[in-house]
Amino acid sequence: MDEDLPSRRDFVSISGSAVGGAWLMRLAPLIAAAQACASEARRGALPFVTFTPREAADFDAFAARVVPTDDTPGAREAGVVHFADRALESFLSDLLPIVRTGLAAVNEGVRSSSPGEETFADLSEASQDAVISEVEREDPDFFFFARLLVTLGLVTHADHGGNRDGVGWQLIGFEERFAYQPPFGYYDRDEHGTGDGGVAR
Amino acid sequence: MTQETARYPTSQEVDFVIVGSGAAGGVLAKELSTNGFSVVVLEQGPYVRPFQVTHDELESYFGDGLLGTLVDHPHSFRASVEEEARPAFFLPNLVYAKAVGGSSVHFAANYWRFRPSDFREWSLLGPIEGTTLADWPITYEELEPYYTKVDWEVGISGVPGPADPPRSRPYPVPPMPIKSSGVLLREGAARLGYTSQPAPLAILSQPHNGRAPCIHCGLCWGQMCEVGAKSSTLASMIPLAERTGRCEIRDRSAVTRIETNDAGRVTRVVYVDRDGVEQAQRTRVVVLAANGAETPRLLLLSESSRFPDGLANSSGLVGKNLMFNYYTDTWARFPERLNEYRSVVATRVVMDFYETDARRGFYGGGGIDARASVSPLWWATLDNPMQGMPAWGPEFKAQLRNFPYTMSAAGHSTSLPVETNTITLDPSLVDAWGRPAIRVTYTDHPDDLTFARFLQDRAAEILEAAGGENIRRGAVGPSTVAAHLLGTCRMGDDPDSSVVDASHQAHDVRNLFICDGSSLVTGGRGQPTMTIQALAFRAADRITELARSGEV
Repeated sequence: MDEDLPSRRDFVSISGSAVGGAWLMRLAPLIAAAQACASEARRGALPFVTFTPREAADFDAFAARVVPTDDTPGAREAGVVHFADRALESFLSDLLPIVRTGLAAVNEGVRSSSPGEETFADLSEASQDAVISEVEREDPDFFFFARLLVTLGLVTHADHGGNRDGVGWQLIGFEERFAYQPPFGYYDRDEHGTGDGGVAR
Repeated sequence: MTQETARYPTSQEVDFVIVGSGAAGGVLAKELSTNGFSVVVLEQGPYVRPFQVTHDELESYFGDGLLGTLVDHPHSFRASVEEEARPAFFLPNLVYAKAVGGSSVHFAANYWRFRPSDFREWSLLGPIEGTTLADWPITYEELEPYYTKVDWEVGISGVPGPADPPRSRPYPVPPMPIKSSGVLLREGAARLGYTSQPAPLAILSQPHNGRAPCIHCGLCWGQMCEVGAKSSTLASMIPLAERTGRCEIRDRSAVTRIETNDAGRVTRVVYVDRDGVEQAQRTRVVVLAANGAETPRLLLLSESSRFPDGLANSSGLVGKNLMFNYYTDTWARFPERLNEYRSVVATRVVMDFYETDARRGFYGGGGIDARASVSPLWWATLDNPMQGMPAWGPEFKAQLRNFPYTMSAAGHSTSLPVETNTITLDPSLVDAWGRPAIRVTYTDHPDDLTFARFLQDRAAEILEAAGGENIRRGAVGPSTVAAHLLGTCRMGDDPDSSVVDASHQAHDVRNLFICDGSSLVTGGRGQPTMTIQALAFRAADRITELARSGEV
């Protein structure tokens, strides 16, 4: 979908021209479209649209070290790789070059330092952690944006492809009810009995 | 009774074109149309209806919803003129909503009045080096009836606090129910001998003016309210303006230029409409209410042979004296769940440090409120709440779990007016409508940072006294991101040292009025919207008088 969309830089250069307004109108539905694709992809195991299979495996492995799986689900179970795949195609397409170059550089490092291993995803968890520590230090831009894709995919609305079955929200203790009554938490439990709405006392 | 929504052809000369429909523009539209004038409001953002609200954080922050994208709205930032400004990448430096209702649609709705001292700090404190500190041309007493108008017409919940400035009427509805963070702030402050009070909020705790009260959904910050309980101008003012049958809200209309004639009067407002077609609306009077960044940009864009340095800029002060207000977070974890993601952002505030105290040796004042500080998306994403902790791995995962146990005691404080802090036109960056982008040049005055640290120390003490653990301070450093855009067309009696007079009439152009955050002479204590709206109600009265007596 939308293969003919201009890149952000193209867009800036054509902005102000007569066609600018028409392009603008086309951007608005992007997130909605990406959202529909992403949740569908996660459910039906559709192919990745941005990541190559190898990139997807590496990103998934990276995500699983940022928010690891223990006795509770982590970023892998939340399906953040599907979120990232669709986001990098659409509303975060700016970040694609950074992420793609970063992943390639990581694998170059893997091949030169671990003979016999081809990709980050192939490494043991301990080796992956060592690589991430280095990336955090040496390539902070890539680390920042790759981590960002993980955290966004972990806690955004599940329609965007991550936060599968609400596992991200369960992890941080957020409940999506969208209407509450006091008391809201432990420390205001005795404040609302008189119905005075917490007026000064 | 239903009333046809007004529709004016661009060739018809209307009484007023108002640029911007936010905190000030919405009030002006309602007041001027109610007073019988024909009004066209040009708003660059879309008219988003409550049923379109999704509460989807990703959509709100990165989508095309409220903030607009950096593709459409590029801007650049630098600390000083010695630097080359860097275009905003990924996250904006200037955070304001592009939508009908403006930033009142996405604000956290803290509504503190300024105090009498705010209007005469130069007289009280004397000059401060490196600043253009000045008294306002109006006093608190002159503005008080209009603060009260905001309380009742826009809809503010609250109860007067011990040190509040005098008021002529109580709040229309009681304060919002206190949250756990509010209780902890209250207890911590009391143990230290400080006072606290319920936070006044532009969010209805009970039905008022035919509008519904808050359902405590808990995602006010950065998001729209689907029940209309948040007193945005979209909920409170725009419907009344449209109901007069004299006010047309023209959304997705990006103003590119204000045209003037040989007599130096404004005649037409040129804009790009929703289809990308250039239009020009004829008008008798223009009211600029586009915010403290967009307003000066538009004036600078409207230069002509008669106004070579930009419209209404004979003082050279258009775009100067930019003030952001300073904000600090101080977080603490508590043993039990607070669930701060529920209900409104802040419910209680400590005002003991509002006034500048000369004995401290530096200028500054502010308030500390109790709040959630961040939403789920930012909690997981920003490194700030996790300061000093691993950004990934098992410890990061453990930290993520602290979300419902954490609160912030947030400091809201002063920014001094400094002439080298400016909005100018970026020489190369252009926005989606062909307008040169906004370039921000900003360095905090040293006292702004010193006071912010002082206030943060008090916040940390309060959290500790309340039993908070693991107290962490957000970094206090040079400002690079701002939601409050103030002072860039300051108000004053002297045409050499101000852009508009006390009636918001441009000194240089009789039929041009400017009323928004740019009008502020000083920035208050970090919550400017209440004052912006009081000014807008007052300006509407002044403009109406002048229009009726033919003085525009």
